[in-house]
Amino acid sequence: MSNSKPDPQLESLVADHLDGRLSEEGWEILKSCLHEDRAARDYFRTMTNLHASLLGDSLNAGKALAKRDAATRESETTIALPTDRWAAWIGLAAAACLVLGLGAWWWQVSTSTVTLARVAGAVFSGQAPEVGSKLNDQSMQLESGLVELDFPRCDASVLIEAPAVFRVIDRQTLWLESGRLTADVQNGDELGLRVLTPDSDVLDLGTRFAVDVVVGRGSEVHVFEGEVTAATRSGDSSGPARSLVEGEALRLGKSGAITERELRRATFIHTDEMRRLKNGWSPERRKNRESAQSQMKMDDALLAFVDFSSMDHPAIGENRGARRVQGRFPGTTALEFLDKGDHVRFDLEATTDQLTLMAWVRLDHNATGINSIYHTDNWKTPGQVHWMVAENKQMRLAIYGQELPAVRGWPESQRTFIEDLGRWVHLASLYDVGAKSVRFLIDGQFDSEVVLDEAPPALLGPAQIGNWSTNDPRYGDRRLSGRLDELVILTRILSAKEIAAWVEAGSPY
Amino acid sequence: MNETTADSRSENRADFLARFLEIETSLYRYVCAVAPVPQDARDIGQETALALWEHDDRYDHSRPFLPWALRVARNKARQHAEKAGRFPRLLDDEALLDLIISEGEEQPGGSDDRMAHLQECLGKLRPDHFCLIQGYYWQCKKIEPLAVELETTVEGIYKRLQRIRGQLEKCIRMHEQKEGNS
Repeated sequence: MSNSKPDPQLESLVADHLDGRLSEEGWEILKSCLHEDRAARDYFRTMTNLHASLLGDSLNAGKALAKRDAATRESETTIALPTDRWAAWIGLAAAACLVLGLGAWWWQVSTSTVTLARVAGAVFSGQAPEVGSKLNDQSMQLESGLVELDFPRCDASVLIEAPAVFRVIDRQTLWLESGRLTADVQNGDELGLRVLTPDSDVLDLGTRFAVDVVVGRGSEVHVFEGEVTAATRSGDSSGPARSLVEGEALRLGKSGAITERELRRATFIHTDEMRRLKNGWSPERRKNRESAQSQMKMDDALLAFVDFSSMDHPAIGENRGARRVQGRFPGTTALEFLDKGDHVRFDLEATTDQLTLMAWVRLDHNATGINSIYHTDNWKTPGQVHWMVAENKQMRLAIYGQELPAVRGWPESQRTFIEDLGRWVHLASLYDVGAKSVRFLIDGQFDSEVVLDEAPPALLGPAQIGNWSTNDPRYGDRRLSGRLDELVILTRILSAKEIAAWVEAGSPY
Repeated sequence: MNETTADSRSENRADFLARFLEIETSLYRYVCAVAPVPQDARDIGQETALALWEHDDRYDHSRPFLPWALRVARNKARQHAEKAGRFPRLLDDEALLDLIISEGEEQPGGSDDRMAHLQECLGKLRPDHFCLIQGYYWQCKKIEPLAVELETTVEGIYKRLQRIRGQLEKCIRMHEQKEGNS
């Protein structure tokens, strides 16, 4: 069998087959995989043979038990190894329980401690631990970047994103005071990885999940695979545990309140992305990015360059709930919009015939499907601007009063964003009154152009960043579900070449 | 019974056992592929072994023993399925089953080595995981009582079994790689 991890669907189908609970539909999918893919057949055969060995080879079981027995050096129990394979189970099973109890202490002391496995752009407050070093019961403050901890006892890796304060309590318990983590636990169950936060007690049952401590609002638990139990926590005591399975999320508040949440997957950095980010965070790339930013800031047509590292920009008004989190690069800042109504007030006090809007986003699904980026107030006044990823997952630039030839609706990109969930994506929309056109570029690549019949000048007055809130109860949550980084607005049309160069310099990958 | 008949039977039995032990692993793997549920596999395996012994006089000694044994196993699996009302799915696509088996024969790496690694890896399992393997595979316990015993859900038990098997396979592979590098 190859070393690569099998496709999770195949893994699950084969497991269901081995356990005799594969549905008819599942069998058809599995059969099709097996017919088409040699690697799938190899995986199927490997797992079936392992299953057969576990079922049929009692001698192996006996030897495994004997190893435990030897390790304890205490047992005087003699394990009789039956020579008849087909009838060996019963005697061994009885011996197993005896040896198991004696073997447990040996197993406890032989497991190694938690180590710092990898870092990417990590800056600690105070002395930084070295990669590979053992982490003891000491509070650590991660100022920027990412770190990965290895919990060998649970065969778990835990990725913590800055800013975060955490402490390894023991070989299977982590204290997360602030920040967020994703955990991939291969070997968890009731003795699995446990994450404690000021508001929650999360116990893993062998799974992939995330914990996000949102200061002032509570701790969120998101389950991507498998099952966890979560309980509210106050002081040293935990409330009743609640089970969460794949696709579920909860917020556990300080007051003991538990609220169901939509699963946020893209918000969290996962292990595979950490590798790619590490490459993109090289000092050389940083130099290129800073050089491109300096050049952009000198552009006469620049209306706004907002990287959210400071909220002192003259156009930025009140921050109504947006959370400042790590941006695309270690030490940079992005805005995250967690709850309905979260947004930042923004007023450019400008009118323009040429408009370039650009931003980096990482998006999750939300209930209405609308991820709002920049929305001026007073819609239904010609020239008001609404820039978003719409419910059909296409980027939309709607300017009130623009008319499309013989089509109802608004200018939208061709490409959808479903496949981009879970990574940083660069969006650009260009509006040209003279040319009566809207153009869309995604990740620096031209996507499409929409020609208009009417194109009023764009009014860039009072607006919201990250939401499209109204008091009208008919409209649901239209916040940008995810992060927004580096919003750039110009009163000229950037060329495709300029945008491509901007994206190249600013990509975190 | 005269002495000659007794000697002849004894020789036949020794011959059968030698042949059977040679193909036993392959036979058992085949049974587990077509009928993976432990109790089914165990029953079919035992019925096959018994049928092979009882009908050994029908076996043509000039031909390989394994294909004959697999045919008997297939028939036993079908009979068992009729009684249990669970049709072994792989038997509805024997071409696929043959392909999976034949590709396995092409691959290097002896099953003895893997067995030895499996012993090592079983020895490294944490106690509660070991208990689950023991209960499910060796004590023939059903999932529901295991879930009660281990204070979890039925779904939780299935998930754990999947993970433990994955972990054992990973552990075996690491042993193989280590040997390959040494």
